[in-house]
Amino acid sequence: MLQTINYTKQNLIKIFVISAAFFITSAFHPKGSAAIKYSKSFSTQVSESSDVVIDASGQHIYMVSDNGLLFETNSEGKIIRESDIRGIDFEGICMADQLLYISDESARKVYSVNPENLKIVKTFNLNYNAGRNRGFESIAYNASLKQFYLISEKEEIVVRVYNEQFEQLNELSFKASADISSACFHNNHLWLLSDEDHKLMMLDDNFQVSREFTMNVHNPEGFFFDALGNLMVLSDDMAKLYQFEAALIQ
Amino acid sequence: MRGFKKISIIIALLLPLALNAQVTIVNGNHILEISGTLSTYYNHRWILPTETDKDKNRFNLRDAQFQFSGKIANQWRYEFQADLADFVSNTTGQPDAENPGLMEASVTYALPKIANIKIGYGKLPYSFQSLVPFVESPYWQRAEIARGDFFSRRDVGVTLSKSLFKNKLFLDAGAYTGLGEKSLIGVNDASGSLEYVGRAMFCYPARYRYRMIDFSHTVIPIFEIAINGRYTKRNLPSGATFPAGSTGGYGMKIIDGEKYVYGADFAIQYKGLSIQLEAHQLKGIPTDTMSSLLFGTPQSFNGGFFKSGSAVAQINYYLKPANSVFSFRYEYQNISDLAEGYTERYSAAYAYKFKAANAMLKMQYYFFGKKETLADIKFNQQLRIGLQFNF
Repeated sequence: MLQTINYTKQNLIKIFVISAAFFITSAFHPKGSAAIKYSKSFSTQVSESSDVVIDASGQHIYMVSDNGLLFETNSEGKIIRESDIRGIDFEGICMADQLLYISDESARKVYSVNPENLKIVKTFNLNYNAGRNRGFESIAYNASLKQFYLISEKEEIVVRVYNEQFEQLNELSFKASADISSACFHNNHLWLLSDEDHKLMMLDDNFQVSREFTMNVHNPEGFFFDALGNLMVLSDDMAKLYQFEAALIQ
Repeated sequence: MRGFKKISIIIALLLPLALNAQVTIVNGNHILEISGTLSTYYNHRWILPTETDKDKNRFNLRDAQFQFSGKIANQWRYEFQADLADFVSNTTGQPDAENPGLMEASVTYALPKIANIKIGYGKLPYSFQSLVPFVESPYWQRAEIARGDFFSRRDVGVTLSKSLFKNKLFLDAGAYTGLGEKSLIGVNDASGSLEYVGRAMFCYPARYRYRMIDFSHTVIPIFEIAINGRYTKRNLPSGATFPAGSTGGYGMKIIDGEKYVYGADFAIQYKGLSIQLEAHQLKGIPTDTMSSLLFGTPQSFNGGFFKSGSAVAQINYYLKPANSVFSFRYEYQNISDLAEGYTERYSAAYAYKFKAANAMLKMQYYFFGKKETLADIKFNQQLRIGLQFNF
């Protein structure tokens, strides 16, 4: 019996050493992706913030939260206005034709909202039969094609393409990351953010990853590019906005 | 015959993969999610040479759970979770603390900016090891302290919860029957007393979730430190007894007298590595100075009380490229300070996380370093391997 225990202990030590070696090696960022570091960070006033968007003028920033709230904030995350809309679980926001579009993930709804008064203009009901927190985590708008992209978080990651009346045009499976937490259409490319992989991906027209950036941000849930081209990343758990210099993304 | 056995093991382990159906139903502001868990394992025990009973060498359907989880706006939440495997296997009519059949039946009302009030039957806010959802663990068995023999894991009652400082401080407090899983029989014991439970958890620099494995390889170190305690005083009238099976494996889960349990836990995760440390102490003051819990020791020796202590240390690593979890756990347990000896248990676990589905192939092995006589353990080692599938 004693021999069995000693033998088992030796094996446990071997497994532990192998695990430790993997741990050290995994500290390096994956091949083919560039590691970027933020230069500034700002504490946001929005609790459980889940996504963020900037308008075309680069002057107004809108943030949504997990508890179904919508805010206008300044560039450092301080609240300027709060909408009286009460949703369930706002997870994605984008702008299209001067309107805000918000994905209420659990409720499977998309609201179009007037940014002037932060009131709902129209509600679209979508159908997606997955878990409550496996609905559309992200929304982005391609102005040239006049199409919306709604993307589920994980298990599996699905990119749905809708027209402006939210009629489904296409559905694709995306497998290049563990999850998707936010999306944005910028410089004629769809960009996707992964919370679990801590990376930002730029996609080509075939929804393949053409560029990839890993970042040292915990729980990244939203992002946008400001008027200067800086990347701004929103962390839910840290309640912070992180600024990455534009030169890092060029 | 041997080939048939191998094939049947593989089929039984892969069978749950045939299902995949997590569903959400939306009706205005009312959202209902239907989900569940199926798990099956094969267990092998190396029994003592003096033993002959090998009934634990078997396949076991551990979970056949379904869960209804609903929300009405952001004000009401309700949860109903049950395990058909427990209902079918429970032929004694006595709920098993770790697998009670009914797992959750509660309604939570959010009082804006004040607190959440949860009423019903569900998990008690005590012990990190107990609060981690089983499906998030690479192990097939919880640490011994969190299996329901020393303190209950579930009960009927009311819980107030509040989070502060952007989810860095979580406070929970509640009152419950004190009968734990036996509260489902619908009556209290003859003392008519309640049990009071409280927990305070501080997280930094961000919210810490009740998870053992750092699947997302957190880029900054995040930790939690928590203290929790519970108290009940039950004085049974002369001749009255507790409901059958309610006192746990060692007669300490509820006692005729005063019982304090207090503990602390610490957890940290960073780049796939996670560590959990936890310790508890139970102090029981039986009303009857001749109680068997005092092991016949004189009052000058026992002071009128007994203590039980335990500690758990666990280290895990998620190897992301291989979708694999490696975990080791050490457990120390002294069932009573009035009895000789203590128990040490060493466990190792491996889990493979399937990418295409929310499923894990889990393997757990453990052996004893030391055994306390009171624990009455009739085997030396155990190996359990199986598949867990969430839909």
